[in-house]
Amino acid sequence: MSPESSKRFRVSAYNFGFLDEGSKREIRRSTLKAVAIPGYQVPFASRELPIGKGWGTGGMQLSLSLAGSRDTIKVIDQGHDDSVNAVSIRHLIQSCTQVEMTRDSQAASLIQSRHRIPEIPLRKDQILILQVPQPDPLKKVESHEKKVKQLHADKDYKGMWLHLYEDISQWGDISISADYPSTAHERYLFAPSPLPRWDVPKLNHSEALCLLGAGREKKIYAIPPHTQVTPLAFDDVPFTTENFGKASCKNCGADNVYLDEFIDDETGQKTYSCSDTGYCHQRMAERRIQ
Amino acid sequence: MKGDQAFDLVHDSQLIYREMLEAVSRPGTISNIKTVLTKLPDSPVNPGLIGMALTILDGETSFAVVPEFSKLSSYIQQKTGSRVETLDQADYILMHDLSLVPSFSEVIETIKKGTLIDPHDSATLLIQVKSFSATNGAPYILSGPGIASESQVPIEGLPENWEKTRQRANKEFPLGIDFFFVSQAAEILSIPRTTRIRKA
Amino acid sequence: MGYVTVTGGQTAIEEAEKLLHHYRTGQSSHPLHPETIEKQMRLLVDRIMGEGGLYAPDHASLALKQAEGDPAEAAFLLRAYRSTLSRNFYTKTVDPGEMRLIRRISSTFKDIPGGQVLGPTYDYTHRLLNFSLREETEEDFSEFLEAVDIDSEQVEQTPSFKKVTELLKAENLLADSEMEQEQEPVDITREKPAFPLSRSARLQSLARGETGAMSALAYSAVRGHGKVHPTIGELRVGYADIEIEYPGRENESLYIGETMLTEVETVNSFTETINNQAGGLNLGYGLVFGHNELKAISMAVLEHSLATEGEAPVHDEEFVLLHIDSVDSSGFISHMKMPHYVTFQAQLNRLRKFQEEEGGKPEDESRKQ
Repeated sequence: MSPESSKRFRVSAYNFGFLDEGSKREIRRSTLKAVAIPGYQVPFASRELPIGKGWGTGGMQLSLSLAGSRDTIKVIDQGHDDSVNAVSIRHLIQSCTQVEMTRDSQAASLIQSRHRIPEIPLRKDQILILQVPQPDPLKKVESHEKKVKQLHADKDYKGMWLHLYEDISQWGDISISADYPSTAHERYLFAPSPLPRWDVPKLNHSEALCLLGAGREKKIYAIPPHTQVTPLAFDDVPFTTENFGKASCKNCGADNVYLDEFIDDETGQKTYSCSDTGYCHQRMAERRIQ
Repeated sequence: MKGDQAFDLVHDSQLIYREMLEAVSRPGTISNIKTVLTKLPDSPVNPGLIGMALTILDGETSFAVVPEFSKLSSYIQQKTGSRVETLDQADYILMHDLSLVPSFSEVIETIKKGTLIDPHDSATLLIQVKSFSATNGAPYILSGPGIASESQVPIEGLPENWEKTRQRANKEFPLGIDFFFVSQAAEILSIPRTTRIRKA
Repeated sequence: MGYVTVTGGQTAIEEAEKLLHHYRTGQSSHPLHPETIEKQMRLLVDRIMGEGGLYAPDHASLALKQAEGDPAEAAFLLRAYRSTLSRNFYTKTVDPGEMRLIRRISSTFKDIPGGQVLGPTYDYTHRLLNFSLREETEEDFSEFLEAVDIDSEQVEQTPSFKKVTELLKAENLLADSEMEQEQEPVDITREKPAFPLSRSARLQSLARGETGAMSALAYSAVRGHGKVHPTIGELRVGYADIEIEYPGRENESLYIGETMLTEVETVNSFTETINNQAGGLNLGYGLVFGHNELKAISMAVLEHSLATEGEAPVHDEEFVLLHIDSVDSSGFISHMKMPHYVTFQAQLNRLRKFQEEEGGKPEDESRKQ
């Protein structure tokens, strides 16, 4: 460790999990309510954390209010365990909780993620925590929170349907790629983080609880396990996920996974690799054993 | 119980919260917070109920105790800083002995159900029951979010037709009330507003 | 402690931190002492305390040192530190009318009871770079202090004056305001208030706002994108005593310290009515930590704008209050630096699909849900 960073964070100077207990209690109360009303955005005070707002403070607050000594935590950003932001968040969580950290999605009890859900289906003893920048899909059609809350209260999603319809008229299909508007428990329209379409169906009747936190917008919402999640779609324009054609991962050979696209430095050819790096490493390790 | 570890507001709360979260995520699942049983020797009622209260109540919340029991109210006030409120305004309703409640349905009718704008502004009930024992409890069949198809739970110590009273309170989703039950053995079980219940 | 192997990302972060440390030292032989910042960068410290929502001059100074003087970073450091502090007491209501003033001016009257007190202000200094400050020494400091002999006891005893608005009130020139009846204030750091906000929530949001953002919006309001152009009834800077209820003894107070505050009351034309009530002058109110006149005036302009109906952005409370917070805005603007390649890939995927369809290529068998 550099001399600077070793001086930076004295664990003893802060409470377990960084936040004071009052802050944790408020997040916990809001989370319990969020699970009881699937897809509804429960307002919460939202604390400032040592990371920037917009950098995962919603997810972090959930993780820090959840974490205990029995947990093992995995942190990913864009599916990647070792991107600088994932490393930074993991380091902070570990510094102020001393809980076990992992890259193996199957070994984790809590998975904090930005933009992805791991490829291996989650189990009932796991909780997925998603960081959310814009929790309300209706912001696309109405910018004022006061009006948006009224629309949710009335289950008035005409504006969104119209938006999708106009999109189809213009493009022949719905142009929304990530963060596809979906309903939970046939009631609330919610923003599935900005997950790519690929991951949205994983929320439908999931085995694991999924908690979503928007720190800057001060909202917590949840998709409980075994809850119906339905992407908005028309009968003649059904919801479809990303299609990578015949492409597969250059490292582990996986197809039928979400892929990152690269341009090869030397050949200029397009290549692909798994977006879920933990999954990819695991497949490569299994291959070596065989 | 002298010599036992005292209730740790940081770590015991965390454990209880996780059990409560598990319970509300999977209605009908029995989790337990038995570790608190020996940690709250001065508790005026079953430590399980107190453990949940200490985990979620503080000065930013209000509560009501039904039936009135001043020793319990002042204990909660003192330990958490939470404010006593009237039944129709309280955020959390603590029911420590259902056998002493003259009209369960009146309580349920009175408490906050939230509004369409703020459905979360509703009361949560923390209720002491006898047990979740299959031999003595009345079996209920649950379905809804958090439950794969159906789950069956026996609950001992609830008033006759309580589920119908609850159903009336929850008829207008997303308005409604959420229940956390705790047994004398400090097991917990939750039934949020989305759960459908019928008698087995 | 769990073991996580050190990776490229981890190494990069650590090296970046070393570099940052290197730049922060400026390769200078004199480390900046936080006390020097606290004493000689007073206005910056005050600004950081206001935006950080924490009255703690020593912590604000430390934050400035650590952040190489970046106000957004320093306010952010204070806010993050604030998150870890438990709320032990609520102070008793502070009456700024009781402040011991160091400065007090009114633009509405030529003279006011107690008189105009110019106090420490840059208003009438000529903005000429003072090159002699380059060679300023400790001796210069002590010589100056001896020569001007500002008796600190005298400053302490500066009386408090009746507020100008009290005079207007006594003459029945102020519009009746329902706003004054509000009871227990909400605490926006403990709960997320819903729109429309109560007045106390509005004032709290404004008090934590970023000085530059607020002055830009207030400027827009008085320049024509809004319906207000107030006069400053009174601007006061002074020290207010902070008291809490004596623990365990009701009706007894415990003095815990003092804070410097800047308070501004603007007087708005009787034609600029709040919610179409008529019948008197309307006030706008600003109160901020420390000595920060620009922010306090901006706050008063915005506070009144928000209470007045109109089409301009300054009359829209969601627009104003959700965009003046420095931690929110700097965080979200800078989050664009983070990788977004998963969502970008999803967008590329859509675009290519649309292009293929446009070009009449056969549609791939896409995975239906």
